Parts: sequence; structure tokens; C-alpha cells
Amino acid sequence: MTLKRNHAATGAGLAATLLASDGAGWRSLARRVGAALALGWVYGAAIGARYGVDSMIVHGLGVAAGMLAVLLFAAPSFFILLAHAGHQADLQGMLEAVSRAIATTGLVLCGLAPTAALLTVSTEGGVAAALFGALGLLAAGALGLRALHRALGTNTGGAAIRFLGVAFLGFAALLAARVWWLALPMLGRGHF
Amino acid sequence: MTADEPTLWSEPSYWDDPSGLGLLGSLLREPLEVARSCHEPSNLRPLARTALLIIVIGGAAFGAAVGSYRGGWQTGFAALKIPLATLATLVVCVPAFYALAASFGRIWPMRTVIALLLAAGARCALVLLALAPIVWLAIDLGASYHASKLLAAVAYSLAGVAALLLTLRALCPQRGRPAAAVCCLAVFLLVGGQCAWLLRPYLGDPADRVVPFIAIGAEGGGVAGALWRASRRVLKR
Repeated sequence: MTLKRNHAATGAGLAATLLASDGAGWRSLARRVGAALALGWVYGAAIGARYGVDSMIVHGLGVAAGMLAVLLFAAPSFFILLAHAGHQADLQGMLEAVSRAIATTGLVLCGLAPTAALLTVSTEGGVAAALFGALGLLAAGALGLRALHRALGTNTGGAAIRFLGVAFLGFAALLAARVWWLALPMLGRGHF
Repeated sequence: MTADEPTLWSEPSYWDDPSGLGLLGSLLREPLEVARSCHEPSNLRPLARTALLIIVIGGAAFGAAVGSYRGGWQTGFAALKIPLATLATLVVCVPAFYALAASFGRIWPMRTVIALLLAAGARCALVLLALAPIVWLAIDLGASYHASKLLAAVAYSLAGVAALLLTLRALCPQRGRPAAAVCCLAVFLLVGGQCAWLLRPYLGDPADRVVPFIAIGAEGGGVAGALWRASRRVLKR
């Protein structure tokens, strides 16, 4: 923990700003989520670069839409069900955890953007390009969900909480996949 | 912890060596020390300078050995392209490694990540430098095109493993190291393979009368497909 603070103090930059636990005022939460969506947009633009400028914008918006869908539709359900199962997290704690999870996903997506751009633009087949694009989304989504579970302690709670944790993981993954499938022409429609 | 045991912020002695030669030995023998020193801002300038030099020299020597299959201009082209491929891989991997490390709880400054990857690249280049004479000798003794291609790929993979070991050490034995290592490995493999593939040819196909600087046009299957075809040809002989 001390080491982490040392790194933050010595200029760990974007990652420290996004992922550090700095209380959960509404403004700071909104800023974090906004930054995460913008970072997700960068990844979308990177994978869309294969098909031109318009496609970059569309894919950028599509990736951010998937992240927003999980935030707006999956997280509230998860919180309500967790509260029913006896989990102790309050609304503020839940919002903090969810915003950090989204921030983790956004940060990883942005970090993978140059890799994704290289692979999708230079790969010969459209299917392989789509596969590389999806792989980045999968990795970033998984790391975001991992961050959420660790923040809420749903991987170490009672049986009901653990079950809910696993169920949420599946639901969030399906929801994000569905939105990305619909919103990203490269994956679902249009470019094969 | 004993008094002799190095702490995370201990300063290795090779920084006192202005020639940078101390770093050569440390990269090979003490990767953990080098990884630790990347967290100290005052070490980064000499490390970056020496690492870049090693990457260029080691990569060029290996490239020249590989290019000697065809000889002539191809020797120079390959000597130019191997360091380029290594540096391009590092550039593309820096943001990915930064984000992946942060998501696994290792929130490092970008300059630390750049230093770590440069050190890893230098370690890779040193192994390439060591393997260059072996590759050259095999080609000189008449290794076929496909055997030479496989040998070069194996040598490049070995160098990649050496770089990866330094990266693994840098990840520290904290929670999530295996998963972080797998993620970084996947990114390095994909990016390294693709960068090398984009800058092909290195040997120069014997079927080509004139070997192009960069091969333009589809060759099905990418780097994996090319290695698979070469393996089958070598095994059929």
C-alpha cells in the first residue's frame, strides 16, 4: 500500500489518478467514468481504423456504449441483489467500486489500443481483425470485472454472495458482448 | 531480510560504470537488479542510452547473419530491419504493459515501464548477438531456406524468452503475477510476431529474382502459417 502511494506520488500519472481510492464524491466519480469512457473510445477508434475515419468514430462510440450499458443496466441490479443477500457495501462504496472497475476497463482498453491498431490494420483477413478486436475487449472486460469483485469482496463472501458474483460476471459479460455485437460493425455486421 | 539482501530501492553498482559495460553483465546475470533500478529516476537516462545501443547492435548483427543467406543488399536490409522490429514492438507494447501492470495493482510511472521494456529489449538483443554466429554458421554450411527460416525463428524466440524473464522479475511476487505475466506475454507475442512479419523478408525467398525491401501482398496464414509451412517442408525432407 505504501509502495503504491509512493508510486502515485512519483508520477504514476493516468493510472494512479484513475485507479487510486480517493473517496467518492459525485464529481470525482463522474470524472472517472467520463475518463474511462473516453479511453474506451480510443480503443474503438483504433480497431475501427481498418475501415476508415467514419468507422473509427462509430467503433469508438460502440465500445463506450458497451461500457455504459454495463454501468447503467448491470451494476444497479447487482447492487440490489447483493444487498438482499446481506452484503454490507453501501451505495457510495458500490459506486466507487463500479467506477474503478469501469476505469480499469478503460485504462486497459486504451493501453491495448496501439496493439489493436497494429493488429487489426495490418492483418490480412477481416475475421482475424475482428478476432483481435474482440480479444482486447474480452481482456479489458475481464480485468474490469476482476477489479469489481476484488473491491466488493464478492469472491470471498458467503455462498449467496459468491454465487451472485459469478452470476453478475456472466450477465455483465453477455450484456457487454451483446451491445458490442450490435454497435461494432466490425464484429457483428457490415464488414465481413 | 538480512543486511546483505537488496531492498527494492537499492542502487546497483553498475551505474557507477560510465561506459555502460556494467549493464551488459547485469542484464544477463542480475535481471532482478536491473528491473529494480528501473524504479529510480536517476538511473533511467544511462539505462535507456545503453539499452538502445545494445538493441541496435545486437539486432543488426543477428539481422546480418540471417540476411547472409541471400547475401548482398539483403544482409544490410535484414541488419536494419531486426532492430526496427524490436524497437517497434517495444513502442507498441509500452502502453499495453503500463495499463496491464496498473490493472494488476502495479501502478508505475510511464518512464519506469519504458525503462523496463528497454532493458528487456536489450536483454533480447544480447541473446540475439550471441546466437548470430550460430545462425550464420548454419547458413554458411548450406542450411536450406526453410531450415534457416526455422532456425532464425527459434533464435528470435529464445531471445524473446530472455526478455520475458526480465519482465517477469519486474512484476514482483505480488498478487496476480501469473495472470499479469500471461497478459503481457500474449501482447508481446502478438505484437512482436506482427512487427517482424510486417518487415519481412529477412532471408529472401530463393524463388524471387530480386528480393524486395518489404514484402507487399498476401501470404496466407501470417507468421504462424509461414512457420507451419516451413516446419512441414523441413520434416518432409
